[in-house]
Amino acid sequence: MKEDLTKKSGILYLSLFLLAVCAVATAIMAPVALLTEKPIQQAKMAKTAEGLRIVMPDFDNDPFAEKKEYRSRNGSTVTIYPLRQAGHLAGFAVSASTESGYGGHMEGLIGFNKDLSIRKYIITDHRETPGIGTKVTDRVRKRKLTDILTGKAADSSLPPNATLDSYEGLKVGTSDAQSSEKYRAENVDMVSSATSNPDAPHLKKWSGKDVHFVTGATISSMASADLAWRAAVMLSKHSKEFPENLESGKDM
Amino acid sequence: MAELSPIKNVTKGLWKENPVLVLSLGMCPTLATTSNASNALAMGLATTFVLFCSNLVISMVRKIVPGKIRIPCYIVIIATFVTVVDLLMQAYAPAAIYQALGIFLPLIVVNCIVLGRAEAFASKNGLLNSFCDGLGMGLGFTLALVILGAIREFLSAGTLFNVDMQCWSSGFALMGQAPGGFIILGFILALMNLLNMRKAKKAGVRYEPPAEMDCKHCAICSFKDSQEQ
Repeated sequence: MKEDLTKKSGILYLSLFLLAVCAVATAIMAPVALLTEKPIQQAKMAKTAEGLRIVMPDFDNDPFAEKKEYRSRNGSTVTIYPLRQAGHLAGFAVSASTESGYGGHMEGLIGFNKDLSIRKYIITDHRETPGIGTKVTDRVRKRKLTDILTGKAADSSLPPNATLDSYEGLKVGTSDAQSSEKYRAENVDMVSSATSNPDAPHLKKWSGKDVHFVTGATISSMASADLAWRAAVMLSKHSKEFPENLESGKDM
Repeated sequence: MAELSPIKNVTKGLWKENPVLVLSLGMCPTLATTSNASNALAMGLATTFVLFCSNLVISMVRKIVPGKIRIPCYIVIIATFVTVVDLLMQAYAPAAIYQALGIFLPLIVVNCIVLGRAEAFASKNGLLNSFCDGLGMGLGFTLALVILGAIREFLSAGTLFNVDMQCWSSGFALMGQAPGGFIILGFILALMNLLNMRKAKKAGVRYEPPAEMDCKHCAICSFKDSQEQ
């Protein structure tokens, strides 16, 4: 017997019901997304401003006014913030992102000294697995029991992270950047292609040093390396676009 | 199954029907996020919040959702709820709290405890009982995760909630990895069964896990059986 599609167990009724449920869900989510769009942007800006103070504390200009955005080959945006002291270029902070994390999106902020070597590296947004991938991304403050019992004030310095700290002092040379560009042109996804190619530029030694990877969190470690590499290569290409000195009055 | 009072619906999740230690639900986040107690607590609290809210909504719509498509409907409801919570937290919660809890939210959508309680309880019970069940199961999940996380963190790093207990500086690293999680969970399950058996022995009866909790009695099999008849 032919099935009555309009019956409550019919496929048409069930499809329409499911469509209605999805429509209601969209109707709930859409206004919330619109309502939260601006506050989320403001929260992100505040987070970036706080991050800039962490990765490069010594500056007195407004980096947001002088920032420049560049499109990376993977389609993501790399933002370069020049940081100045009394109008003189003191270093850079670079915000970059990758979609190669274990949970996808990973965003980081890297402070560079004037010679383009990495000063501090922090991950500002990620979706890595708590307890595993977060060993690569998070800086966790630990306190001693005796310090708590004796009322000793907590250390306010940036907590350590073996992986992120291993990038400090490293830099990419012009030839490294060129080889990276060539490699990237041939391999769209640097992280997945790097698993089968140990000679991937961003996994090779930076300035003669190794970077630290976490056992059990290889994808997260490679994503952090990819992110740092994207930032460093982009900065090495565009650092000359930022004037060394600003005339007085223009830098604020 | 006789209907329990709201208070018993809260307390049953803590021990008798603990989602991790008795129902063995949510094993993936249980093992993945319990390498330290702080993560375990954050995951537990975020899950509790989503669990009792999704139980409430599903209990409200249970009579109008057709049986054949109830699972996709529940998933859409849970995912919507999690997305809304994620957006609101990202916009209005202090950055440190969102940073600590935000990464757990995507994991909750696929946490089988949330779908499991929606299917096994909220779809068959009223608002108050569903709310209490969600709250109790969430607290039971949090309790199990924190116990497991605290033991693993202490053994692997000598810390508790990131406070150095100054017992040892290099701990038993295996306990921080997934195999260590399985081993500790096994010991906790054995201890729990031992305590339940002793309690039953004192009462002069033989200990048996709740009959309705086994695989054969799950709502999916019950639904299939009812369709075949």
